[in-house]
Amino acid sequence: MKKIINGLLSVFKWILLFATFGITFYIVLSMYDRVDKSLIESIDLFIPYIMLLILFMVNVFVKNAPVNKNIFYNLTCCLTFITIIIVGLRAIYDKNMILNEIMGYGINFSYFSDFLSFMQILLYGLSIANILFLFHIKDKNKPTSKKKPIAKKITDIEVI
Amino acid sequence: MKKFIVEYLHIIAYAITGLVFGFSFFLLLLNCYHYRDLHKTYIKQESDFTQEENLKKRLDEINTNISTFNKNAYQGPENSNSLSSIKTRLDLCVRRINTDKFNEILSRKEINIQDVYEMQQFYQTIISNECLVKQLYEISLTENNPLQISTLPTMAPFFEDEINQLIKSTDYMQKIIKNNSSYAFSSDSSKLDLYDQTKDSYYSLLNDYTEAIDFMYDLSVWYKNIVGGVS
Repeated sequence: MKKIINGLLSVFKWILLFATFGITFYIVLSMYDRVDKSLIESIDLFIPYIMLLILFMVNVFVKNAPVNKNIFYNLTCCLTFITIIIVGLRAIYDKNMILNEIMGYGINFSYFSDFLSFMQILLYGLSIANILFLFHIKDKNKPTSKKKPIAKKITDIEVI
Repeated sequence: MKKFIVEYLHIIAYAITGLVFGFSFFLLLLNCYHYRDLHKTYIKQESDFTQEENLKKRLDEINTNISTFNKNAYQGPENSNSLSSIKTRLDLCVRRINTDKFNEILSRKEINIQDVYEMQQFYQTIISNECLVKQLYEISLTENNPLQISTLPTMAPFFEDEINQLIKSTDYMQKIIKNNSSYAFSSDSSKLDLYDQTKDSYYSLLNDYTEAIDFMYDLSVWYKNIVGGVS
C-alpha cells in the first residue's frame, strides 16, 4: 500500500511540476508582455523550477532512496504544486476578483504577483530539502546484487 | 562522524520539508477561504424588490412630469427654449437610465460582488457621467447659466450641492471592491474591509440609485411647477 501511494505521488510530482511550470510561464509571459518587458528579466522566477527539475532527474538516475521512497517529501511536492496551480487558475478564471475585470487582460496579475514571493519560498524550500536528502550512507547490511547468485547456488545444492 | 552529519542533514531536510508542507497547506486553505468569501451571494429581500419597483415608478413619474410641457402651445412667462432644454435633458437622462441593462441589474434575485461592480459601473458611467454631469450640471450653474428661468438662481446652489454629492458617492466603493483582488496575511480589521462587501456595497449603491433618481424626480416636480401644467 505504502509503495503504491509513493509510486502514485512520484508520478504526480512529475506531472504537476510540468503543469505548474506551464501555468507560471503563461502568466509571467502575459504579465511581462503587457508592460513590454523582456522575458529574460523574469529568469529568477524560473530558477527554482530548473533546480527542481535537475534534482528530480538526479534522484531518478542516482536512485536516491531518501527522496524516491519518501512519501512525506513527495506529498509535500504535490501539495506545493497544487497550491501554485490553484493560484494560477484563480488568477485566470476567478472573475469575482474585480481587478480581473478592470484590467481587461483576462488575468489578475496583481493577485498572482502577490503570490510570486511565496511560490519562490516554497520551491526553494523543496530544492534545499532535496539537496540535503542527496547525502546518505549506503546500508552495508543490505544484500548486494553480487550475493544473490551465491544464495541461488546454495538452494540449488539443497535441491540436489 | 559521517553518519552523524548525514543524519543531522536529514533532520534539517525533514524540518524544511515540514515547513514547506505547513506553509503550502496554509496558502491552500487561505485561497479556499478567499474563494469562498468572494463567491458569497446575497439573496435579495422582498423589501429590496419593492424599493426597485419604486425606482422604476419614479422614472415613469419623471416622464409624466416633463411631458406636461409642450413648446408650441406654451404661453407662460418663462423662456420656452430654456424649458424645452430642461425637458430634453431630463428626458435623455430617463432614457439612458431606463434601459434593459438597468432593469436586468435590478431584477436579479441574487447578488454577488461581480453584480455589485456592474451596478457601480452603471451608476458611474450612466447616472453620474452621462446624466448628472453631462445633462443636469449645467442647470445648476450659479454664474453664466444659459437657462433663463426666474426661480433657477435661487434653486441652482441646492442643485449644485446635490449633484456634487451624487457624483462623488461611488468612488470609494470602487476602491474597496478592487481590494478583493489580492490577499496577504490580513488582520481582522482589514478582513472587514476586504471581505463581505457584497451586501454592504449593494445597499450602498441601491441607496445612491435611489438618491439620484429622487433628485431627478425633485427636479421634474420643480419643472412641472414652473410649467404650471400649461400645455
